[in-house]
Amino acid sequence: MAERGKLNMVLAVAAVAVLIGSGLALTVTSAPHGDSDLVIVNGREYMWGCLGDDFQFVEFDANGVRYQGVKISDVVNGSGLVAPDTYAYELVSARDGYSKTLAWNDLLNGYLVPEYEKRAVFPERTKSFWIDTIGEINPVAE
Amino acid sequence: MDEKGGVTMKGMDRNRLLAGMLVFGSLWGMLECVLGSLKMPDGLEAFPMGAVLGGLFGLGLMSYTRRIYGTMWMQLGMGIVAGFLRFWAPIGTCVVCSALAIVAESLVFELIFNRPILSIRSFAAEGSGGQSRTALKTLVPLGLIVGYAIYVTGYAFTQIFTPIVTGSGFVLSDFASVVPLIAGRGFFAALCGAVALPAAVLIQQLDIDVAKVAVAKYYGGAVAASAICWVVVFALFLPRFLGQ
Repeated sequence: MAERGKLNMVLAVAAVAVLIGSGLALTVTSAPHGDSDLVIVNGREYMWGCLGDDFQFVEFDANGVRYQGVKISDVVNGSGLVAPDTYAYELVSARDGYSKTLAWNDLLNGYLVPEYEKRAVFPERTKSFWIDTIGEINPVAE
Repeated sequence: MDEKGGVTMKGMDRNRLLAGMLVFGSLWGMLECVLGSLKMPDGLEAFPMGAVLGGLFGLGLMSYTRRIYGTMWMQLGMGIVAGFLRFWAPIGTCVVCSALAIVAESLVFELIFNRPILSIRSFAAEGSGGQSRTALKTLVPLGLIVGYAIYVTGYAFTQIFTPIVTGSGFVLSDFASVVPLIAGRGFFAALCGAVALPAAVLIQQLDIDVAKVAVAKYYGGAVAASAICWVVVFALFLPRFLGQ
């Protein structure tokens, strides 16, 4: 019985710690990590709603769904980056700061899709790459 | 029964156990496919459905099967079935992540509840013996901690192994950036776990002696229930491919 009381005490303390710790982390990470109307590529700002002014929208299928989007490689090239194939790219979500680093070869297969939660969609990697509300695409040294 | 308050795989009719694993794993996998692919309404896009799936349904089903079968490592088998169904049905977003997370969650469940002091069957016996309040004092905080633990571990596991499995390469800075997110989203899984574990272990109406169910009824029901789960998932994603 004493052992059970001790167990309950330990569990209660741990549960309170979990609630406080995760609650704090939730509060901190819930703050937006950028303007969700913008996507900043190599320091250059593009409005999500105006991507079609600068880049051509193409239709493609991914996971059985038809999307319309602009090729991420077009946007990177349009940002004026020299030798883009020598970098890896960090895609950062403006919603929560989630980031994913991809090689140029993977990026060549990616699209920015405004209509679907401003996602980056990779038709050949639909089982593993999905990042929404893209806020930044930053070249990083490989 | 072994000293840990559960029976080993050898202790229960192996075929009954496998059928149970298939049914409850399929049910879990179906819930993951159906609810995991839901598009959240405006304003709730950031809500982590995975926390509900792991903390409420995953933990709830694993706890319930541990209660009625009392067999260690069965829940890992359920997780493998559910993960396979999730991977097989390419609905929604990162299915590799989801499938890996499910298996990791079931492994964490085993590692926690295979400890004699946390025997689910003992808690269930307390409940049926009129000591539900005593059991609740342990199960509520335990469910909260376990809900958090399985979700956070599953999520972290996918962030490490999905890039490795898919060949895109693990990047430590990506993982570091996602750790606070995982820790925060686990809040919802913790709350779900605090409800799921006590409910799955103590609700008397859910009690069933699986060893005593007639053979025809047991296996017939198991096959039918599993088939329904797989057909539902199949029906969900098939139109997408037919529409291509």
